[in-house]
Amino acid sequence: MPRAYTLRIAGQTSELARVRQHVKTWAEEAGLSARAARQIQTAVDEAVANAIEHGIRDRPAETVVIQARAGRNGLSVTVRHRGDRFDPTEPPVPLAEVRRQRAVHGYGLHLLRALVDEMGYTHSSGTNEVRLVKRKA
Amino acid sequence: MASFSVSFRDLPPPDDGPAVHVLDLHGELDAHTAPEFENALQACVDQGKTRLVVAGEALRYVSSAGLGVFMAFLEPVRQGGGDLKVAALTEEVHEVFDLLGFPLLFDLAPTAEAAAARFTEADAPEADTPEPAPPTA
Repeated sequence: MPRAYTLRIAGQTSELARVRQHVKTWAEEAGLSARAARQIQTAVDEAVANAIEHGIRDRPAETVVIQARAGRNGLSVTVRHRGDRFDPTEPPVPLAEVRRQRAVHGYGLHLLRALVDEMGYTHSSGTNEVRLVKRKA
Repeated sequence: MASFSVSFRDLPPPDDGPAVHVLDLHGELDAHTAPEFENALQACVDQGKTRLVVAGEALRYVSSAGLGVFMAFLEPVRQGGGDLKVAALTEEVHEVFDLLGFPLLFDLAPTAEAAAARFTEADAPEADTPEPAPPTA
């Protein structure tokens, strides 16, 4: 029987630790390995941080909603917010180029891509939704 | 809220040069706590300390925001004649470093003491040795 979870947080980075804690629990309940659980935890952290820093920006009263579904195949997580449009599925600057420039930013999107099995993005009626899937090995 | 702190200690230099300063990181380094790490490194640079080792034995988590701080100080420290070495990373944190290719840029050591022993005037890394640009198709 799939299990569903919902967490609503304030649009502030101080909430990120709480998000990670919840994702860890959900991943364990989905039966993911410790490594896969860490990976989806980091991926969701990156997606929520993007939502806060690039979507919500300086409107901390806005919220981010994280929903998850733990099923037989693994864990799927959606991150929704009504801030500025930010599509993490767009091709990022190549990693080697980011490193070569000694850039301070630009690593999060590469992490997201490397850590999940599927990633999707939709923007509808002002709502951004990022969907991340981590399958059982 | 994520718990994060930095403590400082000195290790004797392996040569006649200045002491090696170790920053021991504790807790979780994410988009919320990264400014604290940035302040700690900036304080070292402001004091002219350029033989730096960041030790991660008690660092349980790092996100791209934390990695960006490492990157922000790499070149300034090398241009000052020193280096920013990284030591004693946990498996979880090393995994993230590895995914982004940071071992290509940073001198990683198993312990802070081993990292400190690599500071010798003869072995000081070049101030600006960026990765070669990827070949164009």
